[in-house]
Amino acid sequence: MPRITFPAAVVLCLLTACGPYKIPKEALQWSEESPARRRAESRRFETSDEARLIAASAAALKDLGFTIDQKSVELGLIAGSKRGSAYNVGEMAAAAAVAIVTHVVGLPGSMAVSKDQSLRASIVTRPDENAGGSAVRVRFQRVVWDDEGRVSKSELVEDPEAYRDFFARLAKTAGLEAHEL
Amino acid sequence: MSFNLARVLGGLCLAALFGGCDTAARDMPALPPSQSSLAAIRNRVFATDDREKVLRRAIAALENLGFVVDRADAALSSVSGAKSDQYLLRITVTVMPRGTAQVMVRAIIRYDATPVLDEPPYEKFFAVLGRVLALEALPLD
Repeated sequence: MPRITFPAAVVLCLLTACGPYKIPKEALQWSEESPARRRAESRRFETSDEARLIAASAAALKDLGFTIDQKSVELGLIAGSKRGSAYNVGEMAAAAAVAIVTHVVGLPGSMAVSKDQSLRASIVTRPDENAGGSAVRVRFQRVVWDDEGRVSKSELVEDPEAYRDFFARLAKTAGLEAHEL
Repeated sequence: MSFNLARVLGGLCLAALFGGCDTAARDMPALPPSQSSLAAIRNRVFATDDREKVLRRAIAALENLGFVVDRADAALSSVSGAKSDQYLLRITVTVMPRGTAQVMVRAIIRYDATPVLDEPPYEKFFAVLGRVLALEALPLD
Protein backbone atom coordinates (compact mmCIF):
# COMPACT_ATOMS: atom_id res chain seq x y z
CA MET A 1 0.00 0.00 0.00
CA PRO A 2 1.50 3.42 -0.89
CA ARG A 3 2.45 5.53 2.12
CA ILE A 4 0.21 8.40 1.07
CA THR A 5 -2.89 6.31 1.73
CA PHE A 6 -2.35 6.25 5.53
CA PRO A 7 -2.76 9.99 6.15
CA ALA A 8 -5.60 10.05 3.66
CA ALA A 9 -7.32 7.23 5.54
CA VAL A 10 -6.89 9.06 8.85
CA VAL A 11 -8.35 12.26 7.42
CA LEU A 12 -11.26 10.30 5.96
CA CYS A 13 -11.94 8.59 9.26
CA LEU A 14 -11.77 11.86 11.20
CA LEU A 15 -14.18 13.50 8.77
CA THR A 16 -16.52 10.53 9.15
CA ALA A 17 -16.33 10.82 12.93
CA CYS A 18 -17.07 14.54 12.79
CA GLY A 19 -20.31 13.90 10.94
CA PRO A 20 -23.57 15.85 11.21
CA TYR A 21 -24.53 17.35 14.57
CA LYS A 22 -26.57 14.90 16.59
CA ILE A 23 -29.80 15.66 18.43
CA PRO A 24 -30.87 13.26 21.19
CA LYS A 25 -34.03 11.39 20.21
CA GLU A 26 -35.84 12.24 23.43
CA ALA A 27 -35.41 15.97 22.80
CA LEU A 28 -37.78 15.77 19.81
CA GLN A 29 -40.33 13.37 21.29
CA TRP A 30 -42.87 15.77 22.73
CA SER A 31 -45.84 14.78 24.81
CA GLU A 32 -48.54 16.87 26.44
CA GLU A 33 -48.50 17.57 30.14
CA SER A 34 -50.84 16.05 32.67
CA PRO A 35 -53.91 18.02 33.82
CA ALA A 36 -52.66 17.60 37.42
CA ARG A 37 -49.53 19.56 36.62
CA ARG A 38 -51.54 22.27 34.90
CA ARG A 39 -53.81 22.55 37.97
CA ALA A 40 -50.84 22.83 40.35
CA GLU A 41 -49.39 25.67 38.27
CA SER A 42 -52.65 27.56 37.71
CA ARG A 43 -55.22 29.60 39.62
CA ARG A 44 -58.34 31.51 38.62
CA PHE A 45 -59.06 35.08 39.70
CA GLU A 46 -62.40 36.89 39.59
CA THR A 47 -61.29 39.67 37.29
CA SER A 48 -61.02 40.21 33.56
CA ASP A 49 -58.35 42.86 34.14
CA GLU A 50 -55.23 41.04 32.96
CA ALA A 51 -53.10 44.18 33.23
CA ARG A 52 -53.87 44.22 36.97
CA LEU A 53 -52.82 40.59 37.30
CA ILE A 54 -49.63 41.21 35.31
CA ALA A 55 -48.74 44.17 37.54
CA ALA A 56 -49.48 42.17 40.70
CA SER A 57 -47.41 39.26 39.34
CA ALA A 58 -44.49 41.62 38.75
CA ALA A 59 -44.74 42.83 42.34
CA ALA A 60 -44.94 39.27 43.69
CA LEU A 61 -41.87 38.26 41.65
CA LYS A 62 -39.93 41.27 42.92
CA ASP A 63 -40.90 40.34 46.51
CA LEU A 64 -39.35 36.94 45.84
CA GLY A 65 -36.11 38.52 44.60
CA PHE A 66 -36.68 38.16 40.86
CA THR A 67 -35.70 40.66 38.21
CA ILE A 68 -38.30 41.22 35.50
CA ASP A 69 -36.84 40.25 32.11
CA GLN A 70 -39.84 40.41 29.81
CA LYS A 71 -43.41 41.72 29.92
CA SER A 72 -46.25 41.81 27.40
CA VAL A 73 -49.63 42.93 28.71
CA GLU A 74 -51.20 42.43 25.25
CA LEU A 75 -50.23 38.76 25.20
CA GLY A 76 -50.48 38.18 28.97
CA LEU A 77 -46.88 37.23 29.69
CA ILE A 78 -44.34 38.25 32.30
CA ALA A 79 -41.00 36.52 32.82
CA GLY A 80 -38.30 37.02 35.44
CA SER A 81 -35.17 35.43 36.80
CA LYS A 82 -32.81 35.46 39.76
CA ARG A 83 -29.32 34.06 40.18
CA GLY A 84 -27.63 32.65 43.22
CA SER A 85 -25.03 30.26 44.54
CA ALA A 86 -25.57 26.53 44.10
CA TYR A 87 -22.73 25.37 46.36
CA ASN A 88 -23.75 22.27 48.28
CA VAL A 89 -21.76 21.04 51.29
CA GLY A 90 -22.43 17.34 50.59
CA GLU A 91 -21.43 17.65 46.95
CA MET A 92 -18.25 19.57 47.86
CA ALA A 93 -17.31 16.89 50.42
CA ALA A 94 -17.81 14.18 47.78
CA ALA A 95 -15.67 16.15 45.30
CA ALA A 96 -12.91 16.52 47.90
CA ALA A 97 -13.00 12.76 48.60
CA VAL A 98 -12.78 11.99 44.88
CA ALA A 99 -9.85 14.41 44.52
CA ILE A 100 -7.96 12.73 47.41
CA VAL A 101 -8.55 9.21 46.06
CA THR A 102 -7.51 10.09 42.50
CA HIS A 103 -4.41 11.86 43.82
CA VAL A 104 -3.41 8.87 45.98
CA VAL A 105 -3.77 6.35 43.16
CA GLY A 106 -2.11 8.73 40.74
CA LEU A 107 -5.02 9.21 38.36
CA PRO A 108 -5.96 12.50 36.73
CA GLY A 109 -9.45 13.94 36.98
CA SER A 110 -11.78 15.52 39.47
CA MET A 111 -15.48 15.81 40.18
CA ALA A 112 -17.26 18.95 39.06
CA VAL A 113 -19.42 20.67 41.69
CA SER A 114 -22.47 22.90 41.32
CA LYS A 115 -21.50 26.56 41.49
CA ASP A 116 -24.23 28.94 40.23
CA GLN A 117 -27.93 28.59 39.67
CA SER A 118 -30.65 30.58 38.01
CA LEU A 119 -34.33 30.37 38.86
CA ARG A 120 -36.58 31.52 36.03
CA ALA A 121 -40.27 32.28 36.29
CA SER A 122 -42.79 32.52 33.47
CA ILE A 123 -46.32 33.76 34.20
CA VAL A 124 -49.10 33.65 31.64
CA THR A 125 -52.57 35.16 32.05
CA ARG A 126 -55.59 34.40 29.90
CA PRO A 127 -59.34 34.87 30.04
CA ASP A 128 -61.02 31.83 31.60
CA GLU A 129 -63.68 31.05 29.02
CA ASN A 130 -65.34 28.35 31.13
CA ALA A 131 -65.67 29.87 34.61
CA GLY A 132 -65.19 33.57 33.81
CA GLY A 133 -62.48 35.83 35.19
CA SER A 134 -58.85 35.15 34.32
CA ALA A 135 -56.57 32.18 34.71
CA VAL A 136 -52.94 32.65 35.74
CA ARG A 137 -50.31 29.98 35.19
CA VAL A 138 -46.81 30.20 36.64
CA ARG A 139 -43.88 27.96 35.91
CA PHE A 140 -40.52 27.92 37.69
CA GLN A 141 -37.42 26.49 36.05
CA ARG A 142 -34.06 25.92 37.74
CA VAL A 143 -30.77 25.82 35.82
CA VAL A 144 -27.49 24.92 37.57
CA TRP A 145 -23.97 25.52 36.27
CA ASP A 146 -20.91 23.64 37.55
CA ASP A 147 -17.56 25.16 38.48
CA GLU A 148 -16.39 24.74 34.88
CA GLY A 149 -19.26 26.83 33.53
CA ARG A 150 -21.28 23.94 32.07
CA VAL A 151 -25.01 23.46 32.61
CA SER A 152 -25.15 20.51 35.00
CA LYS A 153 -28.87 20.47 35.72
CA SER A 154 -31.98 21.98 34.21
CA GLU A 155 -35.38 21.15 35.61
CA LEU A 156 -38.89 22.43 36.19
CA VAL A 157 -39.53 23.11 39.86
CA GLU A 158 -42.11 20.57 41.03
CA ASP A 159 -42.36 21.53 44.70
CA PRO A 160 -46.07 22.49 45.15
CA GLU A 161 -45.11 24.82 48.02
CA ALA A 162 -43.25 27.13 45.61
CA TYR A 163 -46.42 27.54 43.55
CA ARG A 164 -48.70 27.94 46.58
CA ASP A 165 -46.38 30.60 47.98
CA PHE A 166 -46.35 32.54 44.72
CA PHE A 167 -50.14 32.47 44.34
CA ALA A 168 -50.61 33.53 47.97
CA ARG A 169 -48.40 36.57 47.31
CA LEU A 170 -50.15 37.29 44.01
CA ALA A 171 -53.61 37.12 45.63
CA LYS A 172 -52.51 39.44 48.43
CA THR A 173 -50.94 41.97 46.05
CA ALA A 174 -53.90 41.92 43.64
CA GLY A 175 -56.42 42.03 46.50
CA LEU A 176 -58.23 39.03 45.00
CA GLU A 177 -58.88 35.45 46.00
CA ALA A 178 -57.04 32.69 44.13
CA HIS A 179 -59.27 29.77 43.15
CA GLU A 180 -57.96 26.36 42.17
CA LEU A 181 -58.96 25.27 38.66
CA MET B 1 9.55 3.48 11.69
CA SER B 2 7.06 3.30 8.84
CA PHE B 3 5.49 0.22 10.49
CA ASN B 4 5.04 2.10 13.78
CA LEU B 5 3.59 5.05 11.93
CA ALA B 6 1.11 2.75 10.26
CA ARG B 7 0.04 1.35 13.63
CA VAL B 8 -0.35 4.82 15.08
CA LEU B 9 -2.41 5.95 12.10
CA GLY B 10 -4.49 2.80 12.25
CA GLY B 11 -5.15 3.43 15.95
CA LEU B 12 -6.18 6.99 15.20
CA CYS B 13 -8.57 5.66 12.54
CA LEU B 14 -10.20 3.30 15.03
CA ALA B 15 -10.39 5.97 17.73
CA ALA B 16 -11.98 8.40 15.29
CA LEU B 17 -14.52 5.84 14.13
CA PHE B 18 -15.49 4.80 17.66
CA GLY B 19 -15.60 8.43 18.71
CA GLY B 20 -18.18 9.02 16.01
CA CYS B 21 -20.46 6.23 17.24
CA ASP B 22 -23.33 7.14 19.54
CA THR B 23 -26.26 4.80 19.74
CA ALA B 24 -28.31 7.20 21.87
CA ALA B 25 -28.43 9.83 19.20
CA ARG B 26 -29.26 9.94 15.55
CA ASP B 27 -28.05 11.99 12.69
CA MET B 28 -29.86 15.15 11.84
CA PRO B 29 -30.46 15.49 8.10
CA ALA B 30 -27.45 17.35 6.78
CA LEU B 31 -29.53 19.65 4.61
CA PRO B 32 -33.22 19.93 3.83
CA PRO B 33 -34.21 18.68 0.40
CA SER B 34 -35.23 22.20 -0.61
CA GLN B 35 -36.35 25.53 0.76
CA SER B 36 -39.93 24.80 -0.27
CA SER B 37 -40.06 21.52 1.65
CA LEU B 38 -38.54 23.24 4.70
CA ALA B 39 -41.22 25.93 4.45
CA ALA B 40 -43.86 23.20 4.25
CA ILE B 41 -42.53 21.68 7.49
CA ARG B 42 -42.33 24.97 9.40
CA ASN B 43 -45.47 26.81 8.24
CA ARG B 44 -49.20 26.30 8.57
CA VAL B 45 -52.18 28.44 7.64
CA PHE B 46 -55.19 29.06 9.91
CA ALA B 47 -58.53 30.49 8.85
CA THR B 48 -58.64 33.50 11.19
CA ASP B 49 -57.43 37.07 10.97
CA ASP B 50 -57.04 37.45 14.77
CA ARG B 51 -53.26 37.45 15.21
CA GLU B 52 -53.37 38.19 18.94
CA LYS B 53 -55.66 35.25 19.58
CA VAL B 54 -53.35 32.96 17.61
CA LEU B 55 -50.31 34.21 19.56
CA ARG B 56 -52.08 33.65 22.88
CA ARG B 57 -53.13 30.14 21.86
CA ALA B 58 -49.57 29.47 20.66
CA ILE B 59 -48.41 30.30 24.20
CA ALA B 60 -50.99 27.83 25.59
CA ALA B 61 -49.90 25.15 23.10
CA LEU B 62 -46.23 25.61 24.06
CA GLU B 63 -47.10 25.35 27.76
CA ASN B 64 -49.05 22.14 27.09
CA LEU B 65 -45.93 20.73 25.45
CA GLY B 66 -43.73 21.55 28.44
CA PHE B 67 -42.07 24.74 27.21
CA VAL B 68 -41.37 27.68 29.48
CA VAL B 69 -42.55 30.69 27.50
CA ASP B 70 -40.17 33.53 28.24
CA ARG B 71 -40.56 35.98 25.35
CA ALA B 72 -43.61 37.54 23.77
CA ASP B 73 -43.86 40.60 21.57
CA ALA B 74 -47.22 41.66 20.17
CA ALA B 75 -45.64 44.25 17.86
CA LEU B 76 -43.37 41.63 16.33
CA SER B 77 -46.17 39.05 16.43
CA SER B 78 -43.81 36.56 17.98
CA VAL B 79 -43.55 34.33 21.04
CA SER B 80 -40.71 32.10 22.14
CA GLY B 81 -40.16 29.38 24.70
CA ALA B 82 -37.49 27.00 25.92
CA LYS B 83 -37.58 23.38 26.99
CA SER B 84 -34.65 21.91 28.83
CA ASP B 85 -33.81 18.60 30.43
CA GLN B 86 -30.10 17.87 29.93
CA TYR B 87 -30.60 19.65 26.58
CA LEU B 88 -31.91 23.01 25.44
CA LEU B 89 -34.58 23.38 22.80
CA ARG B 90 -35.94 26.77 21.80
CA ILE B 91 -38.99 27.37 19.66
CA THR B 92 -39.98 30.70 18.16
CA VAL B 93 -43.45 31.15 16.73
CA THR B 94 -44.30 34.03 14.43
CA VAL B 95 -47.77 34.88 13.16
CA MET B 96 -48.16 36.75 9.86
CA PRO B 97 -51.27 37.95 8.03
CA ARG B 98 -52.10 36.04 4.88
CA GLY B 99 -54.69 37.78 2.77
CA THR B 100 -57.63 39.23 4.66
CA ALA B 101 -59.03 36.14 6.38
CA GLN B 102 -56.05 33.96 7.19
CA VAL B 103 -52.80 33.97 9.15
CA MET B 104 -49.64 32.02 8.49
CA VAL B 105 -47.90 30.59 11.56
CA ARG B 106 -44.20 29.87 11.30
CA ALA B 107 -42.39 27.79 13.92
CA ILE B 108 -38.62 27.51 14.10
CA ILE B 109 -37.08 25.02 16.52
CA ARG B 110 -33.44 25.04 17.52
CA TYR B 111 -31.41 22.54 19.49
CA ASP B 112 -28.79 24.81 21.05
CA ALA B 113 -27.70 26.71 17.93
CA THR B 114 -28.66 24.00 15.44
CA PRO B 115 -31.92 24.31 13.50
CA VAL B 116 -34.18 21.27 13.85
CA LEU B 117 -35.22 20.05 10.40
CA ASP B 118 -37.10 16.92 11.45
CA GLU B 119 -40.84 17.07 10.77
CA PRO B 120 -42.40 15.30 13.84
CA PRO B 121 -41.92 18.07 16.46
CA TYR B 122 -43.36 20.67 14.06
CA GLU B 123 -46.32 18.40 13.31
CA LYS B 124 -46.90 17.91 17.03
CA PHE B 125 -46.83 21.64 17.75
CA PHE B 126 -49.22 22.49 14.91
CA ALA B 127 -51.57 19.67 15.93
CA VAL B 128 -51.77 21.03 19.50
CA LEU B 129 -52.11 24.62 18.25
CA GLY B 130 -54.92 23.60 15.89
CA ARG B 131 -56.71 21.90 18.76
CA VAL B 132 -56.48 24.84 21.19
CA LEU B 133 -57.54 27.21 18.39
CA ALA B 134 -60.33 24.85 17.33
CA LEU B 135 -59.14 25.40 13.76
CA GLU B 136 -57.56 23.13 11.22
CA ALA B 137 -53.84 23.64 10.55
CA LEU B 138 -53.72 23.91 6.76
CA PRO B 139 -50.56 23.28 4.77
CA LEU B 140 -49.09 26.01 2.61
CA ASP B 141 -50.45 26.03 -0.94
